[in-house]
Amino acid sequence: MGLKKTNEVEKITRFKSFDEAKEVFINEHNSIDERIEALDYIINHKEIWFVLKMLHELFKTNEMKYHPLIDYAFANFGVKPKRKEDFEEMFKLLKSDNAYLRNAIIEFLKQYGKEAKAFLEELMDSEDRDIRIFAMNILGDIRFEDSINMLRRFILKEKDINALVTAIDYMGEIGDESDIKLLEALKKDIDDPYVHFAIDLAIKRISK
Amino acid sequence: MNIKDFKKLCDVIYRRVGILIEERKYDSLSKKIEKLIKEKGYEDFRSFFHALRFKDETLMQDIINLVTVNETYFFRENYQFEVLINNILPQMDKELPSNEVIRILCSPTATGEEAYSIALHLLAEGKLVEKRDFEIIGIDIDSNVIAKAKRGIFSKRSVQFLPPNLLNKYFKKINDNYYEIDKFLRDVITFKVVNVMDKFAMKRLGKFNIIFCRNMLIYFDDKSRKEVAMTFYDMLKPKGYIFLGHAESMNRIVSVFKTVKIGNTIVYQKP
Repeated sequence: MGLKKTNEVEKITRFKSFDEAKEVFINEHNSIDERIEALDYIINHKEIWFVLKMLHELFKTNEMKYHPLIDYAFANFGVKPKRKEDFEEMFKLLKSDNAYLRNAIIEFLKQYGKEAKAFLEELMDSEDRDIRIFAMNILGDIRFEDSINMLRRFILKEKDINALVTAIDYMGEIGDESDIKLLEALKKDIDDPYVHFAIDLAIKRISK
Repeated sequence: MNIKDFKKLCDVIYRRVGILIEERKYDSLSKKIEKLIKEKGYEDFRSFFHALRFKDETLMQDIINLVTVNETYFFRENYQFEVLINNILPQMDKELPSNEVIRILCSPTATGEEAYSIALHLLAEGKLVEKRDFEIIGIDIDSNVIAKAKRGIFSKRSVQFLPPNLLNKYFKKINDNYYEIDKFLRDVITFKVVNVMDKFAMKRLGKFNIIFCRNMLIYFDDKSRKEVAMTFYDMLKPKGYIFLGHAESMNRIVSVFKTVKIGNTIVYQKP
């Protein structure tokens, strides 16, 4: 007994095929470690959209046991999403009933914001109010060169109060003094105390 | 840079990475910091300090490189080793089969002080190592520091917080400035050059009961931080623990670990 040294090298689990890996991954009786090994194989052999689709189909509800698998997948995509199919699946995930999966995709988008600009613009034009709010959250965090212009355009056309207030809030963070005029004009156009409060706050923050 | 600015800077460094820089270092460090401020193109300390806090993450790395030469030492953040020895390992010892080796990973290990500190704590406690086997592995991306860890020669400064009985028992004084750790300890701890971002090299190290990853994740961007956190998650055995630096929080990176408070120490457990 005591301190010891081993020179053993751990064998990495190998799968013969994607089907074998998928079988291990979807089987809830397997341990989390076995499922992560299978997921690793899948991530290394399939494109992002495929993995996203699989996550969407398998994890429809928010259960704690899925969290490590979702986190592992999003932490380990080796390449950035760029194909149309990638963004289509990302869009579907934003509408998932599983809040954990939705948040995971938002965080993922934040990391790849610059490359995902066109996708973000699509989100901002979505008919779904919640998706537009997601888009604001992402835009506010990414802060790439054109963020402020995208935000200005959004504020001018947004009709939903909650989405608008989210945008105004971010304007307070990333806007400059030239935006005060726009915010003051908006205040005259919209007669809503909630919006007025958000505008006053944003102007205060910009002026600072 | 005046002493007030220096203290402000030291305070930020302490809060971010837990390195305590004493006021007496002002004379030796202030000139180096001023040189860095100039090299980076800042007009004065004020603009540099603002950028350091709010704009440029790389500046913190530069300033840390500048102030942390040989900053690691034995028994650093010792309260974590005490929690390991007094709380976590005895509990694991009760729960795990007696023939199972308890494996501990130090990443990054730098020049080995952390890995050797754990070994010294185990030897000082004495009972646990009599009952079962322990394996300690230290990894680092820097081959120079791994070579130093294997060599086991440490400065007077590095061993300054070691209890005298452990220093006398396990170190040989080479000269007024250096000590060499016992060959037995050098032989039982594994040091390897491994990049934490190399997932397969990490997997080949096997599964661990304990991972020490102190003051490393703060240097990464969000994406890499998440990736490494999930690699560690995968490398931990169920109910295994991860220790981070005192200024770091796993909850801000991923939410899959359970936060456990033992005394004043926060550790993160794989469910």
